[in-house]
Amino acid sequence: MAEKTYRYIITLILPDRIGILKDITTAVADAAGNIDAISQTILADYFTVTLTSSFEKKQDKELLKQTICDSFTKDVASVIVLEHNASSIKKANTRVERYIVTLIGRDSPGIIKAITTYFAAKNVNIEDWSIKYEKAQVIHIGEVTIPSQLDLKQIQAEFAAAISQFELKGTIQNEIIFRVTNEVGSIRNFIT
Amino acid sequence: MIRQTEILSTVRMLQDENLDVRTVTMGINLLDCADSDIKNTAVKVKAKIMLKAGNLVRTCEELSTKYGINVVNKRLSVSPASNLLEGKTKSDALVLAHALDDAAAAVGIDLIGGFSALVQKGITPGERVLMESLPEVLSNTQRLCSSINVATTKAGINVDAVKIVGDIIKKTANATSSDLGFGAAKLVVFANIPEDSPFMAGAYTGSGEPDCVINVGVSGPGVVKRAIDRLLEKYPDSSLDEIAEEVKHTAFRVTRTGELIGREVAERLGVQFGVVDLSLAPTPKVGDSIGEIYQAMGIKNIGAPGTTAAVALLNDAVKKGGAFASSSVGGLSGAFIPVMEDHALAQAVENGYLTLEKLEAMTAVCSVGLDMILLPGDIQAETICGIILDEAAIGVSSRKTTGIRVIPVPGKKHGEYVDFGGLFGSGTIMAPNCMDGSEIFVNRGGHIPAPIQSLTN
Repeated sequence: MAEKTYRYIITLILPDRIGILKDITTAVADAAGNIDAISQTILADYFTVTLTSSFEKKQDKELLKQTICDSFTKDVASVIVLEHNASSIKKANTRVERYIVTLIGRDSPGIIKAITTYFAAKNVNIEDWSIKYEKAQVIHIGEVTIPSQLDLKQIQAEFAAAISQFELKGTIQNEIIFRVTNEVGSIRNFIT
Repeated sequence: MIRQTEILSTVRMLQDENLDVRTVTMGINLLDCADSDIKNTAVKVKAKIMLKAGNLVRTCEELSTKYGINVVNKRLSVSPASNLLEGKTKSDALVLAHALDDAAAAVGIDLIGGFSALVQKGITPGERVLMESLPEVLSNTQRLCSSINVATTKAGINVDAVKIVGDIIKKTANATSSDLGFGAAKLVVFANIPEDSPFMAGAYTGSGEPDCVINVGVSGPGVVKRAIDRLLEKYPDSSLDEIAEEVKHTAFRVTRTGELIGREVAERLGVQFGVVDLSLAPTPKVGDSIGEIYQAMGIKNIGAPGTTAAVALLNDAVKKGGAFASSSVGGLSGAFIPVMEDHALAQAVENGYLTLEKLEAMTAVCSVGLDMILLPGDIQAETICGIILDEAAIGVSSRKTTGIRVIPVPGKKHGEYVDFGGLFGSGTIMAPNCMDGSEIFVNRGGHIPAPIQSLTN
């Protein structure tokens, strides 16, 4: 790649079928883009992918979007193309630690709202959140980053208070406990 | 990236299956506290314990919050107190004992081990002072625990020391008769005592250990039991080797949690990390029982033929899983069978299925020995000595640790029920099938030579 490149964020949502990833990567590669990150999932039978692609030349976003849409003419697809603008990304300049949040219990409206409202007020960044159902229970699993200067015990107590209106058991635990109990390797590598 | 199933399985172990760190035990060498005046020794002992362990409880609690793991006990073990009692008297021993007890209280510790002596080959004057002071010491302190090593595979069994200890156990129980002989529950007699075990009452800091060290004891019988239950729900016809495999995998995960906590506590306190002792140590709580594991395997009545094999399977699988998980596995690591502290074992004794003789067989393949056994108050000291000699012989010949923690309950008889409360649990008083007949053998004293190391069939 050339020294100066132009990076774009491309998101595609459409009903799942075999070959979607092949179609979008072909479209981007044919447009001379180099795909450098992909995150993909299937949610309620809808295929969702977000990828970043770098180009040697500046792209017309609408043209790029149309090129991708042309690969999905038989599908009801939604495509978004954004220019990656590093200067617009606001990153907190504080040290953070990664935690896993779990909630298990009875499903009811308002759970996510209560949690996200509390976390946003505390500058806790939710990086990933997923919900699934097992038997009659709802299970939430989230990955969050918590500023190191916050009192974790207080966060856990306030979190418990925030979900106390629901019939849920909640935990906030440092992610290292999940790694050491599931991955092989020296413990020292996890804690340093 | 951590998979959701892995996250949920770890949460389940911690939330529903009683996985915890049973103890974080700081080992402290007290040899540099020796002084010709016991009062000065006592001052130095307190100061060193305060210096080293002052932040132990707080640090454990911070990590408990961070990882969502309950660190149940924070404890101390010290180098053998007998080393500080050479040239001293029994009253000096009491001064030292109070200093240790007070220091433990000051740093928020519930038990401190190491009021100990290693007498497998002979007894020094200081060791004799320590042993003879035990009835008074254990009846006048709250937190102090004692251990006496009477045998090793290399040295054989010191029968003279066993004779003294048998007598001391009786005297200690009698000195604490108002507490049902509870003082004896704080005294363990060992063969092949480990230098780094974090578990009480037998923890002490051996001469091969650093000046200060963190050893961790992880438990988790509930986790192992539920893992077997899940396997059998999915595959009801699972064979014993498949059960062993499941135990091994579970032991891996349990060990890792202990090492994580231990290493981070050590790092934060600026001391060396020692070992993680993966011992399936039960509590009287339902769902936290070793006996329930044997029942899950298919031993309906604990004590029935096959029970010893079940113990052997479990003990070996736990060690294998632990050894794969960490290079720092030590202590006792295996399956404890403390009768009073395990409701299923205590029930088996009450039902008459689990006898002292069967327990002795089980100790040949478990990780410790006869632990928390209630005996009739009128049992002869020589009979206690005989029990100790039998256990020591198993340990010495099998090249393993065996411990004996027996409590002759003053005024109580075979079959009566005793409740110590809390972690020490409750149970029925047991007795050997034959209550006497070993006096002449025991009273010969001397030494049972170390076993031959070849011709091993």
